[in-house]
Amino acid sequence: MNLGSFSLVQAQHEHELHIKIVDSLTQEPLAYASVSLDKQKQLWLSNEQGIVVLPMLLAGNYVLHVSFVGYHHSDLLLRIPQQLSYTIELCSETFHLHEGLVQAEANKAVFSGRKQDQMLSAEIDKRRGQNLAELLKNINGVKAMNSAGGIAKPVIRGLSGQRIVTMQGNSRIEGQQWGEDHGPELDPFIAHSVSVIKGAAAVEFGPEAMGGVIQVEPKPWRSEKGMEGALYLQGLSNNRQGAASLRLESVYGKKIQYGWRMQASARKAGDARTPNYVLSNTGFTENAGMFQSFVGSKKWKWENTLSIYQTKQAILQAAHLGNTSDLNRALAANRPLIVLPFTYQINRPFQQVKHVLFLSELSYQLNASTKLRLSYSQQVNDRQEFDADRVYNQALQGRAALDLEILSRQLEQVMEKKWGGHWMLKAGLNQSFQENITAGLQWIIPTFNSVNLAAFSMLKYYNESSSLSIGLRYDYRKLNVPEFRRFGKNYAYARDFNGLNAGITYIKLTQHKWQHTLSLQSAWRPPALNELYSYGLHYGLASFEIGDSNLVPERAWMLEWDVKKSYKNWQVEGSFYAQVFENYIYKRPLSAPILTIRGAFPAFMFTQTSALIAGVDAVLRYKPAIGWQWESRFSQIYGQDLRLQEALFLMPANSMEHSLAYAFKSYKKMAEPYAELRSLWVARQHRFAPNLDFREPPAAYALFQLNMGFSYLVNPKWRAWNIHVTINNLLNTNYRDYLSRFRYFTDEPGVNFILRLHIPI
Amino acid sequence: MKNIIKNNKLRFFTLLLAGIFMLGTTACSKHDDHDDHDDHDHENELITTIRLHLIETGTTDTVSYAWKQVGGPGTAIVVDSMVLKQGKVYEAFTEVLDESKTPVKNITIEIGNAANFHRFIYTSTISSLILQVLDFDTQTPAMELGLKFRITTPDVMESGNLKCVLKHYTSSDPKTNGINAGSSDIEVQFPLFVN
Repeated sequence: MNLGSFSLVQAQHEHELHIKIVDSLTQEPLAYASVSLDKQKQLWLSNEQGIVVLPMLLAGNYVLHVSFVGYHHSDLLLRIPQQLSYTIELCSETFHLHEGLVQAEANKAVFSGRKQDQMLSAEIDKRRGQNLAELLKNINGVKAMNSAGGIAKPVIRGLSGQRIVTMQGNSRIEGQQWGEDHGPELDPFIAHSVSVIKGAAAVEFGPEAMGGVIQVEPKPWRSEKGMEGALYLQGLSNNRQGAASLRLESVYGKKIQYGWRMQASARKAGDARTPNYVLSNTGFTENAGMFQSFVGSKKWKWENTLSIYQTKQAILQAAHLGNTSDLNRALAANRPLIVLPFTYQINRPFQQVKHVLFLSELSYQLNASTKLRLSYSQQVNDRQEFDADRVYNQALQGRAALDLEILSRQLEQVMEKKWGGHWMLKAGLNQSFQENITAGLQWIIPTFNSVNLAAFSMLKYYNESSSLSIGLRYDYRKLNVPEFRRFGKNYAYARDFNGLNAGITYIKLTQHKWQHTLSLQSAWRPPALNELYSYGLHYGLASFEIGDSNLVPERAWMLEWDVKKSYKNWQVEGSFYAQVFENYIYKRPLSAPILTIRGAFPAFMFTQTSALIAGVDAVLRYKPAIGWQWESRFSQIYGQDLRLQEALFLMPANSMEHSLAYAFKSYKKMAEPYAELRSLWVARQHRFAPNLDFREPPAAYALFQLNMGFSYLVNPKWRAWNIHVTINNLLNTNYRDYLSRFRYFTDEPGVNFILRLHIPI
Repeated sequence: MKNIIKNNKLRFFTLLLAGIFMLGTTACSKHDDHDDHDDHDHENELITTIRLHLIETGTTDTVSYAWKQVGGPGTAIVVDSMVLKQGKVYEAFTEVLDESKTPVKNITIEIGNAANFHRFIYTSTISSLILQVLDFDTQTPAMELGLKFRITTPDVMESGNLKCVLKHYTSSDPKTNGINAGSSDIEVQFPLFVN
């Protein structure tokens, strides 16, 4: 039925457009879905067969908007009269197995020109409650580096730490990213979408983005006025964890809109359990709160965000050791030397982090083609690590071994301009300031301050089947370490760094619907504080770390080719990449241990070499029959130290995943029920340099996971509730993972029953 | 912009935003209590010296042997060689110091105060050398502490070393867990000669 229309006279140039709208999984037609065209104010609704006919359209390109309650909105580029009949598949919000339709992907190529892998809200819902790194593991090519308990760091194709940038919205999270046991300080409950950005688009984010950018975005604001929210409740059995998060949002106004949003989350977990014993002292608590507000119109918008994140994380007691003798004894034992009954209590050693982030953004639509954005962000990251009680001096009792506070301020000015229907330019300036204060008993990195000035620009050309992006960024960084005293001697440092980041990405959708992406990038990063000036015991692994103040910046060249194709009920994605590094910084063990009054400690020194990291990530999806989906993923990485002709340390082992899912028909009040069985197969990392590690990589393993869930309409007047059940490590398998820092001492956690409830308000 | 001034609700809201902006920029400033740590010499805890005072039983002769690393980890170590007489019994007292500070910090007292969580373990490569700990802590049943011990030398000439280990325990890994429990705060070796 047409809600008001007007007709144009030129009949010979008018075309009739046929659209059919169906559910992406069941292929059932969706009736009364809304359809509109961006150039016209009309709204159409599909009939019982899911069909809409749009009459009297002039030739040209249009953007079609399709929406239906409970489904993801879809935008589609129409080319009249080249194609006059379209079938549009909408993805249910509550059940979203795949990362995006190929058709929608093609649109992403046109409108965003970014090479990105994305997880959207519904997919996140099923895995919500895990920390960021665990969530990201669902994107192909991303693994997690674990420290038993709640800490996990994302590893993108072998790179992590200072080679990855993590963003909360438009703010770079600045903390002590150099630590292998320092996880990103972010509340995973706020994530509405999580993307991994690589290629030319990553250039915008600065030097440390050579491995990629992880962008966690909160929910976009409601478009219409009103109030909404959500309550998340979770229970996890392995470490008897409970978590809850409440989000409320209210938008007012019509022409000028304003609104607020608040989200509060809390999480508490006790010791984790392996199939055979308790991992003593691995509990944690996490509390977070976020408050956002905005005021704006179609032309301008001012948005403020204040978020606070706090965590207290116990560190596996059995892993905090004295010296080489203690370490050898722990390595020889098959299980941790200290195993106590389950408790929620967090004892020494433990970590405590508080992170406060404030972001203020002003965006202004100068004219139809130009948009300006100004932003200011300020964050404080306060990190303390307390060791198993070792202090003799009573006056120093209760002080942290590691006590670092880093304050980061950032100003950014960005302009975006679109013209000619095919061009986009983004240019900006960035000024960042950092100050770090060291106050702990154990010296690892010094007090420092730094200034970073940058200018970047990205140019993109796109049409309906291809896009070409070129990104360029120049950074100048000044690092100052004021004089400090260590073991009776004085030290002071001042360093200057500058460099260019460049990237070019070409995306092409061929006639036969193959999507190719070719990306070439050159990136650099200055050495991190710990790589330059470390000198001390790193308790986590009874090792003594020594920095090299003469390190120079790393530079890497990356080449990547991705290919995607859908054919009937098959989908294939392949990603081939190679990265060559000059001056790759890493830790090398010294031939002789460091002697101290505590005994001998294995010593590691930061040094540089040339390196190569290359690999393949592939995904295969098949829908054998309606409602069924099979998915297989493969991941292989090759890392080599080119100068020493040996394998690079800590490259993820080859892995593959297979999963089978079925979407049941809705039954009475239960909508969209599904079940999924997943398996993960990780090989033994057989490429390793024999003297770089305390122990050989662990054996290969296989893990199984069961996911089930459905939407439940408790009350027809309310929005449906979403219930998900996940069973991780279904068979309670004993295993150790190469990327886990605690593989030297313990097995990984065993079976975990997880119940997740999402109640929309 | 005009609309904001007219509409009361909107005006309130914009002021709220401005207020949050002000709050945000001040809320995230660093804590002031860290400032006083910048200027002076960092009070880093360090054990630099372990000194053994030996008294031959039946005499008042005291000999001292020290293991020293004053510069901190990785720097030069100075160790005295122990030269003992055959067939004698010595009473030994152990002293633990931080000689990098002025005045010298005596850590022995702190160890004594936390006796239930510390233990010295003495071993030697000379199998005929007998070592016996003479002092105990205050728990029930009492366990060895080791600030005071006895050395009984053999009747023949021997050479080897004396290893001194100071173990540190916690409530979750107590002394009762055995000789391999705890973590080592000191692990040093003295060359030892029996003449």
